[in-house]
Amino acid sequence: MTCAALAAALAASPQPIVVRGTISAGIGTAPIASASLRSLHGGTATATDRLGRFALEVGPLPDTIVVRAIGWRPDTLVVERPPVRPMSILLTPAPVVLSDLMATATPTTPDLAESGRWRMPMTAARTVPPAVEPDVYRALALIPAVNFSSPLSARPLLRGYDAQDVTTRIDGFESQNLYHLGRIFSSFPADAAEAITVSAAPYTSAHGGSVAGLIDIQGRTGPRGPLESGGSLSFGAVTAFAGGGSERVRYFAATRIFYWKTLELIPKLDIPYRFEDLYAGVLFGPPDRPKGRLTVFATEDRAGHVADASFLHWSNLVVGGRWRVFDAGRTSVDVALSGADSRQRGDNVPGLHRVSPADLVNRFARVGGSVEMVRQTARMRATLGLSGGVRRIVNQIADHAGIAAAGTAGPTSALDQTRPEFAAWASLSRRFGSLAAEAALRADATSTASTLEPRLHVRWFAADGLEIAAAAGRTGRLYHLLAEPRSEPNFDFLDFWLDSADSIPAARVDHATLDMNLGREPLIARVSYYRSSGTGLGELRPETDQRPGPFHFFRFGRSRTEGLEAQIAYRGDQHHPYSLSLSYVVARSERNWGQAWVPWALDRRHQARAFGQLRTGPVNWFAAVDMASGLPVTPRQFTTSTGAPGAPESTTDRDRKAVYGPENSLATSGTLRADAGIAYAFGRPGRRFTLGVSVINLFGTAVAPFGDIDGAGTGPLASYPGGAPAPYRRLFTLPPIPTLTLRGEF
Amino acid sequence: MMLCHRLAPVALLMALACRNVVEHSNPARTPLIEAMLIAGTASTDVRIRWLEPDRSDPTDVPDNDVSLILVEDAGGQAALEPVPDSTGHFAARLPIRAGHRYSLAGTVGGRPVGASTTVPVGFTILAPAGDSIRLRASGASADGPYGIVPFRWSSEGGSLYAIEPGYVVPAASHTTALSGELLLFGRRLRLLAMNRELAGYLYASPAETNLAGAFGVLGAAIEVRKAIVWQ
Repeated sequence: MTCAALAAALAASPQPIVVRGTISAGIGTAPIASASLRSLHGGTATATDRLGRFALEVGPLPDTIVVRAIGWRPDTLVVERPPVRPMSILLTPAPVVLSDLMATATPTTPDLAESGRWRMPMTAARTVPPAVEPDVYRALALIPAVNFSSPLSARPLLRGYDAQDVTTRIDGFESQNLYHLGRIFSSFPADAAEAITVSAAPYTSAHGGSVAGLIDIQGRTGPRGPLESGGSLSFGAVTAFAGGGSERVRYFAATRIFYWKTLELIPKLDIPYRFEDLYAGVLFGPPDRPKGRLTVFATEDRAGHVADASFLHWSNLVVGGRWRVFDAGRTSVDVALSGADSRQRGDNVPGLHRVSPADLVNRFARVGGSVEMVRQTARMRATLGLSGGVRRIVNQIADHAGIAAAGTAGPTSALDQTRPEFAAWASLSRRFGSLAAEAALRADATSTASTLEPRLHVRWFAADGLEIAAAAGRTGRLYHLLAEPRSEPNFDFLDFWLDSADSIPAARVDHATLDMNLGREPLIARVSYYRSSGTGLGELRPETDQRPGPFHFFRFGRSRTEGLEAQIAYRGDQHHPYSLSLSYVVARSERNWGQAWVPWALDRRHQARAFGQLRTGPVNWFAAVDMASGLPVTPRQFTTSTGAPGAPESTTDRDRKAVYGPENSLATSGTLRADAGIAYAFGRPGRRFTLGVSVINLFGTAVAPFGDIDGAGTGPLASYPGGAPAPYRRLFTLPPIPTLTLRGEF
Repeated sequence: MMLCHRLAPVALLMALACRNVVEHSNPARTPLIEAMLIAGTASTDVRIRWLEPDRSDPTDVPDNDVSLILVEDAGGQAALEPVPDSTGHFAARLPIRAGHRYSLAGTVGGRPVGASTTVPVGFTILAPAGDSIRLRASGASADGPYGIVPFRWSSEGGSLYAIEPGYVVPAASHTTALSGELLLFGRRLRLLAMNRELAGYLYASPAETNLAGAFGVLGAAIEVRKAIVWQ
């Protein structure tokens, strides 16, 4: 009887209407990922995928769909009858986008991928006053969760974890060590980027391999129609790009070349140097329903003299393709194949801690594939994915010839390992009225280690414009990339990739986050609390660590972080073309290397930032202020000669050596930096130019962390609070640095 | 005037942020303990001093401040006893055996200190072989004649090798290499295969310490002595 009634009810209920389509840029056909769509009648919502595709179950027709995307003007469209073919929705850029990075409260969707995520269109990234030229990593300063050790570093630190614990992807395909020139710049050309997304842990289960978070750079897509091209010129590099295509295929390519032949523009560096970057992307399928995308990224750096056996070459190659092999309304299956190869080769390379130069051959290569099935209805979303591949790590570092005999041995390594990798993930999310919850499980395994990573996300659409989200989960990684976190001022180049096996643990971090998003136009605000606890975190041993461990140059230990981020922004519109973003972060990040909990070397307790943008006709004004408490230093407590009764006389009373106290236990003066710039747009449609002028560290204020007086550094000497001289100094001084850029599009 | 008031906090912030001040550390005085266990010896000389804040050189430790024992994991132990007429030196009368593990435990000035180390298992000199080295002088210096001889050795538990007097070619007093050339002078040669703790303290910069509650080293080595006969 019950079954009969249920069958009758199902037969009587109208078939749900699913609207499918694509959201893309009004200028060109670049897909807009992570755009939200909301059905006013049905109360349902969804978000676009990486290729701008969506499938939304609407209410009784006619229904109105509201479309929102960060960096784009909102749009609405009325659906009067069931569409017979996919819809193509074009959005136009917002006039000011600086404050638009925050995900504002939207109706709950069963897709919780947006939790803990910031999406930054490249137009917003260009409002960060550039140093030499716009940079995809440096622009992440707009995001409160991200900070940097100093203005000389492009290594993004994420919520108390080092850049080595953050994975960068290009169009979703992982890339290693995406840096130029001592990690001052990223190697992805800004002119090739459409948007940058930062996902703080615990991110969704479809992703793995990073303990702290993900940075995803979305490459540009060519417009449908005749070839459009452009270029930009900065102090150091020239970039050219072009794109075009047809109904079936659209392509885009950009290349950047460093045109100075030496590094003499940097004081004390006069060595031959060049780099080239290439990004190319092809989007297949009609604009209203693209089928797949192919991505190629290659970069190459050459520094030094090969003939004199004193050089460092490094390169990156990423090739990836993603294709939707099944697409039937509620269910889709995507297949991805990718390969990545990161190489370093050098002779007589300045080494770790300046102890000795090194000869090195490093390589990280990976080839693999994945398949993911997604089934989504108005209330439910389920994913199931599998991936497999092979990873090869070659890590050979040796003392440069002649140095080892002197006994000042530097770091050495001799690895050549090939491992199979497997991952599986499943998630189920469901909407319960104004609340959505997702439970997910991910497993990563190699032949030597494995991790199991449960994750839980909950979002509650508490009121119009108010959203509260919570997440908890584990992230893990089965190999380590260990590099010097303070790249400046020596530009240490050594990278160690280590496989988790035997005595080297896998990194596992448990995260918990609580976010509140408030959208009351024109004000938007976000408050986030996070906390984490991890094991198996790796680091290069600093010079001040005088306790011998199982490894000469590495150490592994535990982590714990906690922080509160608050951001409030004023979002302008075409009538009020200005925006302002204020953020404040109080945080702590600690490590335990086996003795006791100590502050992490890059632990900043307080950081306040302000970004402003004002558009006056063709001129765009922007400014940034960054104020932060100082990074800690390790006290140098005593100096003494070392020896032992009976030891060779040559060891006794020869050199005085430092005796260090508790690691990173001393607070230091903070940093303050103000940057400003203008961009003047001129030309006519089809031939547009932008001339940019900016100055970094406008007032020449202190921006560098402190270091030991006997270490590297050229900055002013430090003193104790009473005025007595202290054995530390700022690592460098940074005068105001002007930048001039010219960008054109034809 | 109003502008000045508004700018004052900004100027104050800039002034504060641009200071170059580091918090003062207040270290307590710390024991400095240095001991090298040499395989085959019956007694070890342990030097103990204080590292004092604001003093550039270590200071002496009164004898009655030291209450330490050297323990062999296999069973034996010996209390450290002051060496007469040698302030800061203490003797541990305990045979040191290759491959054995030893620990130091007790207090200095009431502070608990401790450390452990393992003596290298072996040190085999393959070249120059024999108890004496017959060497033709290739030149002379203020220290007398000098000559160069190839070396090749192996060790289990040794991580660094020191030579006295003389040099590892080109001009080092120690090496991690297992073969190479030695520049020798004088009439007696002393070679030491040091374990990691000792090498890390004597030669690393900054020095490594394996002591808990103190700075310094409890390290170990195997020693080989040879005579040099000039031809």
